[in-house]
Amino acid sequence: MATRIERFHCTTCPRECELTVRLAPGLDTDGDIEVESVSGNRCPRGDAFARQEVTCPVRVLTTTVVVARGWAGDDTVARLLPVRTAGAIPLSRQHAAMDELRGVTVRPPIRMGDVVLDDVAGTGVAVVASCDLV
Amino acid sequence: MNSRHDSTKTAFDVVVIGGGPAGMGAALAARRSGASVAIIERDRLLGGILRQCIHPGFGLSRYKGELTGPEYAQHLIDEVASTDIRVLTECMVLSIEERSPSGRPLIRAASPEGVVEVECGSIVLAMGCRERTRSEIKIPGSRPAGVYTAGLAQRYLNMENLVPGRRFVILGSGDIGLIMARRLTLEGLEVEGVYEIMPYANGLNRNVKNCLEDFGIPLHLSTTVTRVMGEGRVEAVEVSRVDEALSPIPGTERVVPCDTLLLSVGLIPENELARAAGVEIDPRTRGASVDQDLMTTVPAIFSCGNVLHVHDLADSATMEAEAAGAHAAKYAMGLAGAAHDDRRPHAMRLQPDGLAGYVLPQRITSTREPVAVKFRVKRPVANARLVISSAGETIFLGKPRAYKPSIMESVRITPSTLSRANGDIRVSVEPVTED
Repeated sequence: MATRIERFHCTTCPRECELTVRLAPGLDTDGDIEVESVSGNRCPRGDAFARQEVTCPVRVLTTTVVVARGWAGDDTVARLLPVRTAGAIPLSRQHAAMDELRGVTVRPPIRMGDVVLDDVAGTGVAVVASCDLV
Repeated sequence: MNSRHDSTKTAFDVVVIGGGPAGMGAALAARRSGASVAIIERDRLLGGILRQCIHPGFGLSRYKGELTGPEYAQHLIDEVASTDIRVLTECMVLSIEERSPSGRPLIRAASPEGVVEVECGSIVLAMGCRERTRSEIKIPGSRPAGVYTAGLAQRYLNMENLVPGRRFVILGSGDIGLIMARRLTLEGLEVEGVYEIMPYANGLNRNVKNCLEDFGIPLHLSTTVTRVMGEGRVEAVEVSRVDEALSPIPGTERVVPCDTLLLSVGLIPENELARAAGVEIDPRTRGASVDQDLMTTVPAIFSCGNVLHVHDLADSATMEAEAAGAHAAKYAMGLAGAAHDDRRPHAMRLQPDGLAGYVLPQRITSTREPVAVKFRVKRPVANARLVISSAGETIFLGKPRAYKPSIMESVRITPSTLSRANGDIRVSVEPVTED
């Protein structure tokens, strides 16, 4: 088996470096993908991103949750609260996280950063409000 | 402070029209410069389009971290709330006039309390842009329900809790279209594919990767929608491959069943107010023609953010707005005199050339301060360099690198470089050939 090469853009910052990752043939003794080298990155964050991306890609998930009707405010101001995962979660857990969040209803007042759901889809990452709703 | 807290008549040094990422940035910078400031916003809340942009990717430059649109807006809203900036919401500006005999600008706006008149020393336009619609790209076919601009669908889904369809085709690979492809997929709706008439994606690479590749959504380049089909509701669209002249190739038609067509085919600065006030519009940007201080051709009226030219990132719109707000404050408080002393008898006009599709500012009247020269390329190029020249002499030469139309470029030109200019300035992006 030959060395595999993957090419993709870094999404860490707006510079969008085009990364080239060389992967060793097969897996290492722990059964993990072994990265031989990362090139094309202009900063250390690109190197870390590339290694994460070829082993377990992670993303911040954003969506909305329903705002309970009948709170003191006018419900036409906001029917939905935008939320985000506090940190990145595995890409493979996004759909499970969406399923969990579909059942969540929130009641104002809410401040940006308030926890809406802790440990979404077994990731250990909380889902927090993206803005105030007061 | 010279604001009078009367319900219908008020006066401020600087009035900012629009309360989005540009407007709030302009207002904060003007206030920091010592001016009394008001923001006039037509929606009920500040935040502008950021309120429906629930995805991450904001703040990478300005806040050094990845924020969502609402978070980015909330930071600015909190900053505005910590000042005495007056915020007039649900208030829509109808006209900008000149008050006689002072000659100061007078804004007339409609609010729930009736017509409001606001006098000011200067105005910052920050009204943003709106989406191009089906009528502007002239897709043939029937006119059923189910054709939306991507941003409208985004508002329905993210703010109104309404689902605009079940099976989507997206025309245009602009960032909003790419982001909606992911958003719809996460909500359990079907996105058949994204179609792009150009041979390259129009959005940022991060969005192609995180919004399409992550979900296996196909991107069909050099392909466009050539017919909308359906009675009452969209039932299908016909797509065709296009040739190098972007004309559909007969025989390549394919019918794609769907109930909704989203259009992500470009943005247009919303300049009706500016035009009515006599501001000269650059046909290339469809925004105001401005000088190095971001002042339009009408004295006392400044412009910034997406109403000036379509930005790639909210961060760059806010940062540009901060410059406009600071200059507007200086002008309103009569401090612009120092710069005027140094103003050249004739403005140097900037012209785009080569692959540069437009250039900002359109004119330079003072070379005291460094100038941020901004432009976009017309098509992607693997290796090109920025060449700024005047009277046949090159005054600035950039390093060869790749350029993409999705990126708004900005380069700082120093006073010493500008002092070498003699007359008009040509801003060109020129391909570098290996030889």
